[in-house]
Amino acid sequence: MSGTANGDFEGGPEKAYVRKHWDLPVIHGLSARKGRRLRYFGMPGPAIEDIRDWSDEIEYVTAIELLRPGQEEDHDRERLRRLKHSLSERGIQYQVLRGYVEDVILKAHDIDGQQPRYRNHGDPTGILRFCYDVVNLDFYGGAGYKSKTVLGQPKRLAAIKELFRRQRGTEFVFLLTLNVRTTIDKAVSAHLNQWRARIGDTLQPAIDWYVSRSAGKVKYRLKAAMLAFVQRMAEDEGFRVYCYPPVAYIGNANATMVHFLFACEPTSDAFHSVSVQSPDDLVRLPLLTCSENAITPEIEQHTGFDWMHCHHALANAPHCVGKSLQAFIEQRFGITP
Amino acid sequence: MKRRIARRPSEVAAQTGDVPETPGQFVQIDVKPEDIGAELLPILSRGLYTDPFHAIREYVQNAVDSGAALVRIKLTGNSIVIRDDGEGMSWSDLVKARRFGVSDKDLKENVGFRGIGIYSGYDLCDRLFITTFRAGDTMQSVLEFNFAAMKKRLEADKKKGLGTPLHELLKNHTRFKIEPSLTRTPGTTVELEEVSDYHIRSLRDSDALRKYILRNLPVDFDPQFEHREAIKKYLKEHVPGYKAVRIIVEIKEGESIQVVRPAIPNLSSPETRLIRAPGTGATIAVIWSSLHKKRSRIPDEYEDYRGFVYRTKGFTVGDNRRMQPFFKHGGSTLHAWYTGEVYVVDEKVIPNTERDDFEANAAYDVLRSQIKLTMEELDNQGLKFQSQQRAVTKLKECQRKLEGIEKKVQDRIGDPALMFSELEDIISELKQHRAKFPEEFKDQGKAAEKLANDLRTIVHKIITDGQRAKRESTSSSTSTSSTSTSSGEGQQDSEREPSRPTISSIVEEAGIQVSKPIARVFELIEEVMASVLRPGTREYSAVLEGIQSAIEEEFSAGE
Repeated sequence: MSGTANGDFEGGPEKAYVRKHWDLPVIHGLSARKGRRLRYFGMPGPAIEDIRDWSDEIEYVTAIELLRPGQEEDHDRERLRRLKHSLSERGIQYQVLRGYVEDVILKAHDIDGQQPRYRNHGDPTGILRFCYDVVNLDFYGGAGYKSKTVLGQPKRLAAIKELFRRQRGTEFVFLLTLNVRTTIDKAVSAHLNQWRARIGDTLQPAIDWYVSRSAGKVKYRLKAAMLAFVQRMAEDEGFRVYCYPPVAYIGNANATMVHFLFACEPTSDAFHSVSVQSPDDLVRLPLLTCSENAITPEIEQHTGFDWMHCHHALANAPHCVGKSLQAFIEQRFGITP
Repeated sequence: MKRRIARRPSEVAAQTGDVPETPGQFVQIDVKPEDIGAELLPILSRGLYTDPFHAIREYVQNAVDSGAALVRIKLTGNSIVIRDDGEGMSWSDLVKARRFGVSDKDLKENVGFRGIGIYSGYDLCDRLFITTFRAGDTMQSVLEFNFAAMKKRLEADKKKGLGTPLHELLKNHTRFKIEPSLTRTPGTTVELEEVSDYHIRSLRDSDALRKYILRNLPVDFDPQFEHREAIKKYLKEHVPGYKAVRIIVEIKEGESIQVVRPAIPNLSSPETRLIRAPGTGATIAVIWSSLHKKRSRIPDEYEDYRGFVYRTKGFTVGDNRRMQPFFKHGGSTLHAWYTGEVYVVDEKVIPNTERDDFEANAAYDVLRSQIKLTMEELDNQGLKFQSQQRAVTKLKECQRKLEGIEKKVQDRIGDPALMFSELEDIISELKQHRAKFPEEFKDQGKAAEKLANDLRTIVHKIITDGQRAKRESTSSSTSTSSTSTSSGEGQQDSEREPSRPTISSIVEEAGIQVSKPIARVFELIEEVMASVLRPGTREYSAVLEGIQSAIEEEFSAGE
């Protein structure tokens, strides 16, 4: 966590570690598969830390930054100025959209009517599709607010849902970072309770465990709920999703953040797509934590957590970190592969 | 160094409102900051920068003056961002940059010098941000102009009937700060924020902007241009403060245009020369020029680069037609065979405000007269090049024909009489162009002439041998009385002279179409010539050759 001379908080070392050692290998893999540098959509902020860390893989940036009228305007304009300066200074090709990212996704344009650069008008359904390779939604706020809803659904969740609809047909890496501070915690719990019905009997106590976590351990609940939510939304829009274990870390102003990483591969399935990971697999995924330049599993996991299964699941994690995580589990829990 | 203005003894400082005590004596009265009204800002800004492109030019000019090699002009949303990789500004440089109509720039080295350019965005946008970092500094510096607030204040004061002092307006609506630099990369970012829709619409015309930049800024050559380094080296050596930038324009979504002087293909090695003032011998202009090697004007796709343009400190003055009248041959058409630039280095030659010409003065007169001489020389060179190239084309054509005839002779096929006639023509062509062959083709010319003469001898022998054989066979197979007529006819056929050129054939070869009555006129002229000079005589041939040269001279320069 670090404050800057501009009064903004930029990401701290944990976040940087996650970006470089957890996200980057997956982004690099996509770039190698596509045979070109990637198109980024997200909120890099004036320090463009993610863009700087991934610069070798990124070709074009669609950056979204707030511009709120009133008291915040001066502050927001300053952030916009520094964002453009940072992108220009590095010679990156970019566009800057102004407004809330949720609105840009939902409306497909910003407050000035500007549309994201990589889009496809030729869709027979008439829906304006986005064609981005990396979508990075870094919500310093939580998953949503009761006060900001779209037909009763928190705007951020509605935007995530819409994102998959817009991105339909394009393989992409989806990065989502959420603050555990959320006013929709009840909704999260309700979602988990509904999901419980789709989970095998043996794992139902695990769901109960997540739901019963105290307010100080919302990260667990968020982990379980968001994985299920994103997988479902993506599958509805024809994506086969691979969910990496979420990573929790302490971010700005001591806020606990949970970082999610999804590899979304479009399919031509006529109906709902089905991912390799089952709902049970998602529940079984560990919550990881990043601190002091290392990613390790949280020692506390849900009831009946299967470390052997976790060890297997980590074989798909970004190579270096995955290996060290497996070694950690072997050593700590005496697992022999 | 501060300039001291000497006060004349008769002038006495006085306070505003104090009536001088002594009649007949001039007095000086202090000018206070509030005496300079802020309306000066919109008046100058709107008056000088009537086109939104002018503002872009001003900011890019500053980039050029700061030694930038690359400038990016980007339009995103309703912002224009101009980023350069120049040396950037220190805090104090940036504070100075806010000054109005004051500039420390060296007139010799820099493009901008009036100290107003930074305000060129006043009418275009609501805010202007300048973020700059200079090597060696620890922080980057930021300057913000809140033009929207300035306009609002001016409007409000106007309504109240109040005057707004310029210094107050600038002080209250500009802000400075320092902040950490992310990359510590020297350079400057200028952002025009909230550009009005009206201006955004004009600025979106990337093609117009590209053309504007090419005309108004010292744009570098395309790295693919084969003569780029040679020309730049020469200009750097001889044009004080010569700078050239690559400009990347990202105006239309997804379009990134690199604005460079294009790599025109098939140009001759550039010729460079210094134009000196008669008398003093001082260099007043520096020229480079290249001819299109394809013996035609510079292709249409590079139309903007045909001919010569004047440049002062990177600006184009006037257009590429200014020096065209100095090219006399072929209706000035040789001008378009060239591409080149005339860098005016005489400081006394000053572009006019519209930059479509120079201010009329003695220095410009001298420049113009020297340029005229140079261009006339280039015109003659072009003409010589043209005739040389034509001669080379003829030579190649003759060589091709000779190859064909040689093969026929070796294979003993073809009509010897026709070949003889062709060889006569070829020899005549080669003789006619002999003097025009460029040095490197002279040997080829000689060889072709020798081959043509040798072949003619061989073909002549074939003809005479054939005639002899025919005569012998005729005399042995027919009676003497009946052979005389046919033998005579045969001789007439095989020894018929090769067709001579006529006025009509000369005109036709020159590619001129003539109507029937004119063709008839040519026949009549030939009939008169034949009756007076007799065909085949030297005089007759000389007249025809004269006609041929005159026609070629008159009609071929404009090819």
